[in-house]
Amino acid sequence: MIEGLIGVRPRDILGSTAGAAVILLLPILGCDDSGPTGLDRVTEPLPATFGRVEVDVAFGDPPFEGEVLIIPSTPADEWRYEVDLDEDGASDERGSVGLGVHVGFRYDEPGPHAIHVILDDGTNRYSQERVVMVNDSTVMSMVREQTVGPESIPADFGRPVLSSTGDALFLVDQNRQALFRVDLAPLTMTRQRSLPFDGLLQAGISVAQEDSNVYVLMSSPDVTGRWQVFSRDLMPMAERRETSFAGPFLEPGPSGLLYAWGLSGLTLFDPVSLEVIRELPPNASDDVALSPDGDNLLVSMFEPRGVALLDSNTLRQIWFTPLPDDWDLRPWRVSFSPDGDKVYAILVGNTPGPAVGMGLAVLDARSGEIRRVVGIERGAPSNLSDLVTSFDERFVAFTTEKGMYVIDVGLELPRFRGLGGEFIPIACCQIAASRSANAFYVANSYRSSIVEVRIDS
Amino acid sequence: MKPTAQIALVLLMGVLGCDGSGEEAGPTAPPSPSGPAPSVEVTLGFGDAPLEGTLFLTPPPGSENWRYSVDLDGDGTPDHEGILGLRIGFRYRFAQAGIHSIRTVLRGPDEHRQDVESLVIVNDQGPLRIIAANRVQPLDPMWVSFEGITTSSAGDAIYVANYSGGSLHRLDPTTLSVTGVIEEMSYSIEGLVVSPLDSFLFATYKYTHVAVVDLHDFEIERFQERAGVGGFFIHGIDERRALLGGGNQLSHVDMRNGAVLDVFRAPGDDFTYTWHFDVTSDGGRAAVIVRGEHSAIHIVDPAIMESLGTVPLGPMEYPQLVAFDPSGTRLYVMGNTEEGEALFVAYHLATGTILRSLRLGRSYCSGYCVANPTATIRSGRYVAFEWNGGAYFIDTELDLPRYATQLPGSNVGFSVSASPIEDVFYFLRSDGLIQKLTIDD
Repeated sequence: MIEGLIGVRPRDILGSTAGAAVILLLPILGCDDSGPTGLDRVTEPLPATFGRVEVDVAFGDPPFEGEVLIIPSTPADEWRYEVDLDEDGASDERGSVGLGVHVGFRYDEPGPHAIHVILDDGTNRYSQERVVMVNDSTVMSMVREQTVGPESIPADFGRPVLSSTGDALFLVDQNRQALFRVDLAPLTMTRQRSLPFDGLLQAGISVAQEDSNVYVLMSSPDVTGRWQVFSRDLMPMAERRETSFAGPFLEPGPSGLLYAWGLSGLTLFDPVSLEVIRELPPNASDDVALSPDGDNLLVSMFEPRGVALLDSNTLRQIWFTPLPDDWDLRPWRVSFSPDGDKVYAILVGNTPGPAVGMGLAVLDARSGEIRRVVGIERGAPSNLSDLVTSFDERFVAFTTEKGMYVIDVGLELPRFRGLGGEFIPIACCQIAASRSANAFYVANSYRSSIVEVRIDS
Repeated sequence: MKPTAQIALVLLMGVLGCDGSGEEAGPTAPPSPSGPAPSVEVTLGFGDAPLEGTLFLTPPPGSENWRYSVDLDGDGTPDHEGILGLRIGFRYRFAQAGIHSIRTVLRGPDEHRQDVESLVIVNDQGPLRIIAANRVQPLDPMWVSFEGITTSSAGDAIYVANYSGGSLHRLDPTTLSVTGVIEEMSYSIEGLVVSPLDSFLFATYKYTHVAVVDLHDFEIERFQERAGVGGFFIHGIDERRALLGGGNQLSHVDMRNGAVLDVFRAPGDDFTYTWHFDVTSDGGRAAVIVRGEHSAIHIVDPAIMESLGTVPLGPMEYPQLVAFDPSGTRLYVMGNTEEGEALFVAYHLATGTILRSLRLGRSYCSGYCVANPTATIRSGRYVAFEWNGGAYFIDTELDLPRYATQLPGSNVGFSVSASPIEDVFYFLRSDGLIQKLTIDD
């Protein structure tokens, strides 16, 4: 039974919002005092010398099959295990731990399922619980789809950016070398502007927070950039200018400043004067995200492999957390939780097949301490969008070629995945979140369209 | 029957779903009234010490109430016992070099008993002894990529080729020193073979060129660009003819005039092609890897160049290398599963059954797959398989990999040939290092 919740069954907890909140709190309350590990949620501390108890993959379509891994750090013939897979209070598997045991599970019913593990060293019994999630794709629906630009030429959309008023999306298309505005009510492409890249590599886009200017940064092979500002009607506001940084990715920064990151490193700059305020060298960042309060900047790094928190103004490092390499995964996309207390990092690997290829790490935003790491997909994704937070702050969503994933903020696990297959093939999609409803906008290069997706849960 | 052979045969039962109907199949598990038995698999069957893996018991759909006991350390006492629900796995770890046995007893609901033995082999490089080594110096240090190797039929010369340098080197088999060089072989040279009476050396090239070298004069007799046959692998039939594979077809070619005498065209679409092949010592059968949408291994009669059938691939999605055992009754195959794991499989050809299937860990033959990748030692005891820059040695008495050199990675080639007069292998590393290796049993 979960610590502090005697008499309450896991399914009861997980089935309610309050329960979800309680589950969420458990790690904060010091239930895991074993330091950063690759473990899933730990409900009672195991002796640090024991080893680990984890599920190989914690999310999947029904029938969802996986394994609970009970792996001692040294041979544990004296230890015995019991595993209750179906929450009926009776153990379904039991035996000696020995060198380690993998217990298979299978769940057909969508939603969370708790796996209860008892470990007994002959003197003490330790209770562990792991939660796995079976996908419910029915809550996700495609509301509308709007073709963007000529369908005769394949699209290659960058990240769509919501206007400061929340009523329109702007996006650049590298392949068709154009800038588009798509109004959201109703979903209609209302403007397009040719954007000759002149042999430049990629284009990033941002929308000013104070006004409705649309900023476009195109990167050059010589690691410089071309900068152009448009009105929300996509009228050029000034001549194209050169920058000393290449981007091409843009992210809003503090006090009206912007970050450019990518080829030339991470640059904090003034979008009006193009003055560089601070910069970090190339390869310093693979994704960035500004904290909700604007004070900090989250950075994912491939080398060294980990997540860093920087002061958003000085770019000075506050903490850096190397991520565990249990599954040979590296961090790619990062985001803050809506309340700013946690950090999400999507980890990806290079391994095809049944090995864990994508994971979710949750870190404490203040300390950088890893709260949990779980595998969420077998096989590595080849495309991964940004992480975006839903309007009601219950969900964080992203896309891969396997579909759109929706992480339940309360459960810290993906809860829904849908619209995969032909809809979202390899290397297609970027995503933005609505500011007025639990809706997301997926820029689907494969279909040259913007798709509005709603979560009805 | 030797004890080791008995172990080998018992292993098959249940582990691989072998029906045991082969002529040497030994003890046979009768069909269980309880229905299909759970499968027993080990995740890693060969490796360096300490070797760690997991033994998985997986019930077939609908089966229930199978009881199991697993003895991981061979002491006769079960380490794990229970009733099989869903899939369950038990970790093992072996530190001592040699063959280790994991014994699983399964009892069905009707108390029908099945015993399964899974072998796990911990590598021992101790018996692998290098008795001579030399570095063949490339003519131009800028172009170093040695790949082809073959030994004369009399065992008095070794020939190696530099792919990017386009040179052929003759070596003394005792000192491994270079005794002759032909500089103008043209680059992209791949597989080499000496004709049975040592009159000629036949070479195949990546871009389907072919060359014939007169070994009496050590001069190029014939070079044909874009011959359109083969591309990588070659087997000499007599002083004129050879089989060439690695292209769209396996070709029977008169090397002296370039005439294509017959072909085995792999069934499939335009993207289907042949890959590595091997021929039995009597020349009566060829095993040909065919790649395309669906990989296959065809057993081909070289006399008529027609497929006599295919062997089951099991979980092997991408076969890479094939070799017959010396008797020609068994076929050894190395390849990869869809997930990128290396797999060794031994087939019994008469029955079409899988004798052995062993997982070797995650690795791919990628980037540097050599054109002379297998060889059988003179005594017939071991067959060497080049893999990831090193080699596995298949023990033909066990039908299992018994030893392996270090496997440094896929960016190094490690071509192999065997002496016909002594029990040694010659290995050619892509940087020109040639090693003469024997196995001390």
